[in-house]
Amino acid sequence: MKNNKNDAGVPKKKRNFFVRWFRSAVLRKHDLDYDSSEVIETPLQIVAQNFFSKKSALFGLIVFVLILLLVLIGPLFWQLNLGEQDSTLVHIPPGYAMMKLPKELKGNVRDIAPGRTYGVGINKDGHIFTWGHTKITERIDIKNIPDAVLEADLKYISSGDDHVVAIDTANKLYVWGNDRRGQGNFTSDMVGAQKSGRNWDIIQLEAANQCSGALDRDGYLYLWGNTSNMDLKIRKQYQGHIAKFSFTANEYIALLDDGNVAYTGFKGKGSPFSEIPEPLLQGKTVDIATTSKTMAGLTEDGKVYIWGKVDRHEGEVPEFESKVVELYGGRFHYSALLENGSVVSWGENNFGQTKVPSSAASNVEQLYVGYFQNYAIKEDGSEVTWGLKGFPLGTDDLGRDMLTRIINGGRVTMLVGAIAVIIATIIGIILGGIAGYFGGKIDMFIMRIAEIVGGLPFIPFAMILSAVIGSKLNPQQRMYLIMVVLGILSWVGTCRLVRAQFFAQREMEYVTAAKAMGIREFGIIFRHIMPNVFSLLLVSMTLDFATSMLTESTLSYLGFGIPLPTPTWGNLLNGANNSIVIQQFWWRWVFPAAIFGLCTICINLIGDAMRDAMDPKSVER
Amino acid sequence: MALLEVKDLRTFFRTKHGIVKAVNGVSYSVETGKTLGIVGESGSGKTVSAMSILQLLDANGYVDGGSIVFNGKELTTLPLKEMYEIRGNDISVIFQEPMTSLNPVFTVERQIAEPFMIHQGMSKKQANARVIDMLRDVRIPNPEVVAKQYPHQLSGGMRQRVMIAMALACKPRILIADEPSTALDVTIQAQILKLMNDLQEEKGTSILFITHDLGVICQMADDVAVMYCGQVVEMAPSRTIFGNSKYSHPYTEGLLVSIPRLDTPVHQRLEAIPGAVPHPLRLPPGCKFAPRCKYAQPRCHEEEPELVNVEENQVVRCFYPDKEARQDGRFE
Repeated sequence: MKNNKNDAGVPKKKRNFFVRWFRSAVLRKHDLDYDSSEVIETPLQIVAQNFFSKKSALFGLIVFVLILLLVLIGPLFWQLNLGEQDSTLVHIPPGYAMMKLPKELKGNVRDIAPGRTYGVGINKDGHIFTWGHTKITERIDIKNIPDAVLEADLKYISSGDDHVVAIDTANKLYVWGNDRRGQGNFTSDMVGAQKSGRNWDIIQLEAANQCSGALDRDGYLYLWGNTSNMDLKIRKQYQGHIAKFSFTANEYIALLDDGNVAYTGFKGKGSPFSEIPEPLLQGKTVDIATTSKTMAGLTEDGKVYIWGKVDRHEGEVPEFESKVVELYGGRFHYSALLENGSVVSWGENNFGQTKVPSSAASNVEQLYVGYFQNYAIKEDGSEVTWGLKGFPLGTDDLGRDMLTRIINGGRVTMLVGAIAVIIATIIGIILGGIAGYFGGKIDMFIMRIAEIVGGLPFIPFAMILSAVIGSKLNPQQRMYLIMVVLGILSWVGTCRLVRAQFFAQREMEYVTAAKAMGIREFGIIFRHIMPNVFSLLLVSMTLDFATSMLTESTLSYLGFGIPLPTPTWGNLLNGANNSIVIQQFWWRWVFPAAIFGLCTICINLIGDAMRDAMDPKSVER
Repeated sequence: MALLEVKDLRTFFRTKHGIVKAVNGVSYSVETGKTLGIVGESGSGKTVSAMSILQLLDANGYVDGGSIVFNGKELTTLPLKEMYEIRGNDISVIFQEPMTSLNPVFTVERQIAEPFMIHQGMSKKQANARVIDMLRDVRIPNPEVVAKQYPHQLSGGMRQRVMIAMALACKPRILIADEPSTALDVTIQAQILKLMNDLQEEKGTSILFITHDLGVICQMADDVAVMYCGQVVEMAPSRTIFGNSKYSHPYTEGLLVSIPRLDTPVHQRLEAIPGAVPHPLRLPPGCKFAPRCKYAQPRCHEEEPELVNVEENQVVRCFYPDKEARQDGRFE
């Protein structure tokens, strides 16, 4: 009586839902009593149990499945744009802090200059701070601010592609960063103005692609820098009448003091930039802005007009819920500050430049926009940022995101590997099965073919084949060609394996029994014998999959596989064949090599564990 | 007219060293509903003669001559396509090794369902329902459970029952049982043989029973053919052979006396046939059994005896078929 409580039964170990599902779906093990679970234990379950009891196999399987999911689902989130390239984003190391304001600047901003991959800012005391990736070259770093600048009380600051200009409250101009292209060579009238102080009360400072500009309160514009790719001249009639100016990649426009927009440089006529929309020429323009290839003007009534080479959605001006007050341009996007204190961005959205966070919907006081970054300072002094934060795995020599390319490259590599293995396996099964089952002359003939194919020097042959046929094909067809070439050249191992297994299996009595049952020969080969060979085949397929991926990568690395710009894990490493890349841009080869290595190791772990699991002799009882 | 008539069958094998005449002029017939037992040592050609019926010979084997007529059809020259229709449907086979003659990766259900599906065009569902009936017919307990099991989960006797179920699936006219009980232990053997006898009575199947076990033959067969070196040396009703017949072949006689019996005195040595089966490529010129025959005469080593009809239903391939006469040394 006392023990009644204990006799009620040993409490069954409660399994959570996932474990129960896994046991029933994968292991087909139901939570039944001992006897019945003993009865329904298929060979597959035994193999699965053996397999899952190995830690290395489980590790390999989990990591492989994660990688597989990443490359299968990843491309939906990290979309590949084959034409993507940006000279301003080349060789950026991994990082995610391009818009992280230093704490000294928080709530204390006088000016911010969003740079290419960095930011420069001045606090209310005129002190300067930098953040993000400031390294321009091995030698030049924006972070190396001259001592004079550090001590000065700075008023305005602006950053270009590779240099920064700043002016202090005493109107003293500073330039640092890359000055090899004349970024620091002031024009003679500037030098004169600086000396005399006449016409040198700077109200706007801009820096762009290796050039800079400063605007005097009286409408005098000074431009200096690399004149070879920039239209850096001002037509005489405009000098002294300029109210605001803005740089594109190779040109600039100006807003005149009469409220008209003008192309004040010399390139003018014929270029798309000189075709200024009519409403902006009626003396009612209040603001202008530019992106790299387009220009925009804002009229009194809050209407925005875009012109230039509009090909990155810059022209898709949204409906504004309130009047636009100020207009700002990044590299490929515009942001507008509205009267109600909210911000609207439009244009290209590769890095989330136009995805304005909800916190920037009100009370925005000041907006700083440049390149791919937006900084909004709210009335309470807090900042809201959106746009390019950085690249988690860096960028390559054309400014493409390595993460996107690794994920998409993995998809291509795995697809090529998988299809090559499937082709090889199909050929191997058919030829090996026929050779092994029929034997004799057929076997002799097939095995001689196998020897010929197996004797071909693989890489040179694949190179020749892809070079001869591949030159006439587009990249997509070339990918199929590589799959087929890999498949056709690598079936020999599978064929031998299947044949050897068939030799063993066809002597088994069940084959004779099946024959006596009236089952046709191909039925016996493929439906009766093949399942007996399949376990071994599965192992060899798994291991061949890794090999195929490696071979594809070898070919792509050598430049005979899948051509750029389509990424594969092999041709991502293609650029890493010189010491400069290996030493300085480690992220370009470390990440692809690491994930690829991890992936092949995992596949091999899975294959090995499967072989052990299926081989009854390997299990010690 | 018999259901299956094998006449002067000669099945040869090409080997590196020459042609092996595994079956050399064998004739026998199987009547409807009857059991023909074929006895002989290993290599005497009993299995080969049965496999010739279904054209199940190895790649190097071929039928050199003779005829096999089943149900009015000549089987030796039958195209493979028609042969597929006969195999498993009209004539099916049970093999010696129940351990290996089931496909290890298929469930029992799938193995038995296959003949239904290929010969009777049943759907998988219909076939699976019939499988349960078949398993019940061969007296398997829990047919629903066993149907889902794999061969390795079954005992030898169970597997052989599954084999029988598979062979009987399409109600064949003839069942070729190639040593079906050899690999089983004695109690299971008895069960299986009883099962086969019962099923034969139920379904009226003819059985071609191949074995080297005279005890089994005695239990099973209506007629017995004794084979030696690819030839039938004696054929008679079972009762005649195991009874006190006046005539017999010395080989049959040797086989019968070499069976251990309960009533033999303890210290008496078991009689055995001396020597071994001659190598198939170096057969003696005269009677194939002469080198081992204790009654052999000079004539036996030179001339080959024909099958002699010594009594009604009994044929013997011997110059001296009279038992008493040769035991007494009268060779006339």
